[in-house]
Amino acid sequence: MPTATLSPLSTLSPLGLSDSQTKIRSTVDIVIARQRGRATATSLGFKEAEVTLIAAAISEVARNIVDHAERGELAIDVIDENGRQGIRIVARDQGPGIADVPKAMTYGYSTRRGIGMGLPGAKWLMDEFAIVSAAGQGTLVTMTKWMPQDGAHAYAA
Amino acid sequence: MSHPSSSPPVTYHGALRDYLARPGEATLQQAYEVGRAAMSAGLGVFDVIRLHHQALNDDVAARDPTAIVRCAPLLEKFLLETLSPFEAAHRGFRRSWEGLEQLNTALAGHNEALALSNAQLEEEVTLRQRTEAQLRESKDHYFELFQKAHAMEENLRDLSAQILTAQEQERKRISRELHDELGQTLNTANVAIAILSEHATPDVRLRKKIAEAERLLVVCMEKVHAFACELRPPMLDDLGVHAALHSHVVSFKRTTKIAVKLGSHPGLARIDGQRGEVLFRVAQEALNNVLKHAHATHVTIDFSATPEALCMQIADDGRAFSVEDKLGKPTGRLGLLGMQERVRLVHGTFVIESAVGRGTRVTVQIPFTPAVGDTVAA
Repeated sequence: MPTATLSPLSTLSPLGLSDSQTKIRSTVDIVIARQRGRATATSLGFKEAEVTLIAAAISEVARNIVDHAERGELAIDVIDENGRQGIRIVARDQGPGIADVPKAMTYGYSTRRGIGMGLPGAKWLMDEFAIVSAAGQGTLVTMTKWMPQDGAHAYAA
Repeated sequence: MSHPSSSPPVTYHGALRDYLARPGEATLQQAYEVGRAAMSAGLGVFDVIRLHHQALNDDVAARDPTAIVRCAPLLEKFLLETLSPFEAAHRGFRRSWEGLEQLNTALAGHNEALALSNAQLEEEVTLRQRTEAQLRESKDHYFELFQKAHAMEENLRDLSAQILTAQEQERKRISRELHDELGQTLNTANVAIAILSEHATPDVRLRKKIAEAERLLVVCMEKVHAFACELRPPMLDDLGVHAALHSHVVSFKRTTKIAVKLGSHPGLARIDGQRGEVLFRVAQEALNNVLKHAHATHVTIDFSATPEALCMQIADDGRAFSVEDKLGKPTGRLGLLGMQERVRLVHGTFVIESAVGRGTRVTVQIPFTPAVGDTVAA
């Protein structure tokens, strides 16, 4: 992802989704973000198991903000592309940023050790995952989960 | 769990109790954190499910066995929450494995292409090696042919040397035969006729016939003598090459009216019979050529010596000719080639130079050791 898109990180302006925007500063905010994500996903029609996994992904990106940046924002939005619906979660912080993004996204590389956790864990739980960050520039994570097409994810129900 | 904002570690039992007491996002988040902690501690899915059942038995069924049925949806939600970190790991492995699979397929394709190009390369190497072997073989073959040709040339030269030697010996033999036998017989016949003429009748016709026979006999004797001399001048063996050359030149001048100047050299007296014979034959053949082809008026035969060789040079003022044509083409006449072969036989050198307006010059060098007092050219 081109570093030019880093510029929006340097302003703390609202993400433009004021309804769904949550300030993230503590574990309490993580719970609020999870609740909003769960509500949005459920209203979209995601099965309960998928909803649980979306909440887990929110937990990971939100905890990343709490642990490393102390504060940030998280926006949850319903998107519609070519008749396909999904849930998009954008997490932004003004923290120290990540110097080596590919290394940070390597499995098992996390200050909180354990596979399936941290940002890589969130990546595996969502359909799309993008991260923009640099040392001293904060971090912007954008992740999306699409509603399953007919018949897909039958076992996840 | 290391984040500073969390309360003291919560057990699976405790988290389940909290959740059943206050079902909601906060207690679900706590359940999720318990699952994370379990995974961090190295527990597996089976372990979590066992913990779940223990908690159900200890905290739920122990108090109210029907609660398990009543709370089934809540309990399932709780279990899913604790298992979701394991699900994330599982999905991660699956996607990584798929990526690996694609990589393996691509790698297999690359390997196949590599094997193919290797095979082509091997084929090329084999072809090249075969070509090299063939080249080597043909080179060996041509070298063998060349050596055979060389050997055959040597044989030919040996043969020509033998022929020349045999020819010279035969000439010597015939010449001597003519001299000794035929010449003697003719001499005796001449004496007989002389006696006959002394005792002849005064018959004029008979005396005339006898005189005629006597004259014919003398002509015959002279011819035999000349023929024998031409075949092999007896002087060559008796008086040496210079005397033989002198005699030949005198008769050549008399019959051809071409002026010949014959030089001399002390070294001539010391060369052996074979070398003298070569010099004589070359001079004889050169003069023959002058007579037949050159239309010259003057010929000089000069001798000189270097420390290693005696040199004879025969020059005329006649018409020049192409040396290459004479030496290179089989003309049916063995003159020049014959000279060359004879000189080669005694390890000498033979050079013919011919230029328009400057006549022809034949130079022969024959190795010998000059004695003290011989005039040696610088």
